[in-house]
Amino acid sequence: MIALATFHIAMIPTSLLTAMNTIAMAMIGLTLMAITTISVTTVAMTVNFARRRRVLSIGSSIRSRSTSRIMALLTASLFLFCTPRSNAAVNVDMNVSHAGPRTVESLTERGIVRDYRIAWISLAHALEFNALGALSGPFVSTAKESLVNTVSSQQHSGLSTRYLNQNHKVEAVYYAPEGDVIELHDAADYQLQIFDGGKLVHDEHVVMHYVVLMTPAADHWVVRQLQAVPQF
Amino acid sequence: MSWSTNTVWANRRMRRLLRNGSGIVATLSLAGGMCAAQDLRAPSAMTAGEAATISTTGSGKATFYLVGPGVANKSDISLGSEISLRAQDLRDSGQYFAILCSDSCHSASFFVMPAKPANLAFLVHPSRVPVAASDAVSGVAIAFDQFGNLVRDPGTVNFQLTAGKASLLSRAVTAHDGIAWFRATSGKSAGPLQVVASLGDLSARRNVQEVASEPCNLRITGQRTKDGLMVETEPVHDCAGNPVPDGTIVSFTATDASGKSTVDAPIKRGIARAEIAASGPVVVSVASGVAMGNELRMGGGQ
Repeated sequence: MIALATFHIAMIPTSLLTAMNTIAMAMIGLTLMAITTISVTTVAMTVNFARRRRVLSIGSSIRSRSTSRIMALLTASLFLFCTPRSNAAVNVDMNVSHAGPRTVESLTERGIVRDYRIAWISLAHALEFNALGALSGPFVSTAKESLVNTVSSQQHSGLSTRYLNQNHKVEAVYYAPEGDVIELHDAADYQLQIFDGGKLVHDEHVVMHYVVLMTPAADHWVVRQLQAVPQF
Repeated sequence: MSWSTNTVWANRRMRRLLRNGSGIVATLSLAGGMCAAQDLRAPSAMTAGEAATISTTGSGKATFYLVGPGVANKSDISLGSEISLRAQDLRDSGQYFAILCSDSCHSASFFVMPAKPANLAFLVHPSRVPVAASDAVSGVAIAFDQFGNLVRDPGTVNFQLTAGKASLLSRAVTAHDGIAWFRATSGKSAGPLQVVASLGDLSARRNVQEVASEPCNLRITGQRTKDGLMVETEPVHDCAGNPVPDGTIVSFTATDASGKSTVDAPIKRGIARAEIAASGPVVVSVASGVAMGNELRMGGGQ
């Protein structure tokens, strides 16, 4: 199901995906907020009703203020809970002017940027929540095997990795004559956090250089190789 | 190789103490911690699939983490001893983080470089190509080590194209970022074209089927029959003399007093033939693809 969902997500343009995500999150947030409001109000009314029998006027304003504070706190918590951190910020800028021998068409460029961004969102999600399913759509071959091994290893050792505030400056350096493979150089920077259970054991802003091989699948591009190198 | 040291907990501890107004205490506490704290040192160069060791300083127990491509391990170690990294944990090329935590956490990062090339991925296009087509055959060779890591500087890849016993191309190409490629004109005779990429002891072989190009010099003959006329081509060849494959469509067009009619006929055993209903004087022309043939003029009584 997750693979299928990822596959369908890959079909949607990035801007639309972001908008859909925002709307979906807002809807979930509003729904939960409404439920919480109703619940808290009901509890507050019940409490008020019970206590009103004993104390009619004293302290009613204090209770009202407390209820408002609880509601505000719950709402804020729900919004924070609903925001997917791994999807928070993945910026991808691509330059295709030096690619060759085949010229990268504008539609192809947009498709690659969209799918490469989705790949990093999926990677971050998989490694933060140790969710193998997120890797099925955007990654194949060696890249997928390596990430699957990482997630499995994390599951075994109780670790998780968080990628925050990702910025990817991507340059296409090779595009095959028949368009069946493209090589990218990605100068990426992000905040890397490694957790052992709930304990943060490593927190560093890293600048990484990735050599990436992407190939076209049926209707989207997949990452076949994702390899960090010391420099380009 | 890049080094980084991270003291998450020490920094937090210092910030907390500074926030409480104990600046001097914080500085001393941190300095004391750093002096007695553990440290770790990774080798400058590591190769994929080879075991390695990381040396540590300090004393007591600590937790060691190795996080990198394909691995996220956690183990308890004794400070001051060497940490053995298993070969199977260093199979993937890339950046690894070694983290050591006791009172505080320290880290070092290092790169594992690919091993020597062990596999050559070779993509060749197309699978069928017309003869004498300019820049019609292309190939891309990508070098990987035995663990599937991209070898960025594998050296020179030799491409060889052979049709029968004739060598069409022999070219040495230096790989850039692990990729070497060529583009070439197809040969002049139909048949299998062998394309070989070799890198040291490694080689990859692909076959491309060269087929005849467009028909060339179409010629037709014809004769009257009871109901019209029967026309047929001479054996159809391309301009290089290769027989055009059966199934290729040849169009016969007959023009007489009643107008124009066209019959499409596939080539069978090298020849295309068609029966055309026509009476009186008629002009028959022939075409296949972009090639036109001769015109055949037949009188009404012939």
